[in-house]
Amino acid sequence: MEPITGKALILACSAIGAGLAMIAGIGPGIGQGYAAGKGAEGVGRQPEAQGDIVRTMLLGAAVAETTGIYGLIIALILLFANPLVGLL
Amino acid sequence: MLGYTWDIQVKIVKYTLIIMILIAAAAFMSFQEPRPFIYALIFGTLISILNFRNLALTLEKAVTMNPGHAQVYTSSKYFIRFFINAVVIFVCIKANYLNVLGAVLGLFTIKFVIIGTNLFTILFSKRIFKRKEEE
Repeated sequence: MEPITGKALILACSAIGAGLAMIAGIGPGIGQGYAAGKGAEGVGRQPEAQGDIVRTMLLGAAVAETTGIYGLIIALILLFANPLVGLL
Repeated sequence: MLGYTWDIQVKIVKYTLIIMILIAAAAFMSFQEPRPFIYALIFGTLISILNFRNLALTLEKAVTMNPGHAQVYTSSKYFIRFFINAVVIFVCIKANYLNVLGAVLGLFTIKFVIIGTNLFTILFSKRIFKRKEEE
């Protein structure tokens, strides 16, 4: 059996790290869906406030969405432009 | 139909483009080879503007549905936008003529614009930081 090289170990750990980082993308999806559901309930209860509800939800959702991108960037950099391999 | 959020969309897109031009001008003056950064910045900013427009259309439609359908519809649209962002970052990593940092900055510009133009204004105009006893 061949011994595990340093590069192989780094690549394996990077793949695990990338998988863990992608978990960050799930949260905003669930949150945005929940907010939209509650927004729909609010509009059903008070239809004249639809404009205000959508406007506020749009700003909140746009800010929340970028937090998912943080994890995505980390994952893609670990997979395709890994800076740690160059340190060996 | 322009929808309830058209005015706010136009305002945010306008500010985002102004910020993009300012960052591009700063990069042009400070980098030795600024073209990859500027191309990636423009690419990232345009994609983030399209994503923002898609989000607005999604939410305008979602509030007219019943809550269960709205949840599923909004979440599925979110993952489509997430995939588009992944493609943008992947292309910027793989292509030599695009700088990853520029694309990431472009994707995040819209967030800084929203925080700068709306959330602080809302927070300070409602005076939520002031105690009721002091009024």
